[in-house]
Amino acid sequence: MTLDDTDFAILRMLAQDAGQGAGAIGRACGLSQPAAWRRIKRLREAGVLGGQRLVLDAAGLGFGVTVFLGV
Amino acid sequence: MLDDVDRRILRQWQADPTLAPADLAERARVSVGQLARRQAKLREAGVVKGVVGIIDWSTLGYAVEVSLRVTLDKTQGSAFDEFIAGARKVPEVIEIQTFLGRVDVRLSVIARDMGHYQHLYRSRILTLPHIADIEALMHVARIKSDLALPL
Repeated sequence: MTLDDTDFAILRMLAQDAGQGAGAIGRACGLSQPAAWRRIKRLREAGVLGGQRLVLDAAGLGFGVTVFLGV
Repeated sequence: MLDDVDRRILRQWQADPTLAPADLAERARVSVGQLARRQAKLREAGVVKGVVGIIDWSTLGYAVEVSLRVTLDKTQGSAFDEFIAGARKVPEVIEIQTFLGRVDVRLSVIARDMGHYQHLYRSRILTLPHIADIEALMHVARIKSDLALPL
């Protein structure tokens, strides 16, 4: 799949905040809302946008230590 | 502090952040209104920092992933800061972790193929400051990558 600069801009935005709608993304990238929506849909269907992740404050939840075990 | 309802919501929410509020509320056994209030509180308290999109690099032709364990020359006080500042500027470095132990820093580097990796390694990685030793681990398979916390 080949992506242009606009696709990469969309990916950058969604990688920071996946809750943004096509309208907001379109405005930031100079696209209409439907055009942005089509691009997001295409990225999702191609698997480039693999899903979403909830970012939690691990230390705040009591997980203050991460250890890397190399076996 | 978090109570059982908060934990139930967080467990279900992080299992699938794309769920519609009605579905998430049902799985967490709360009302939709209660869910919205709890979610707002969790965000306000900074427990939930946000929801981010995950990019699958392999679909974009990045077939190679290498884990680089770097030991720094710590006779220079600024070694950590300067090395990390330099590594941040390399777009193909997708993860930087610092450690206490024999290894100081671990970088995850992605590349399109071995040729591309070799080029990156020579032109962008080995040129980073204060490297005393470097060990490369080529990823073969990612068996488990659970980003969810065991709540």
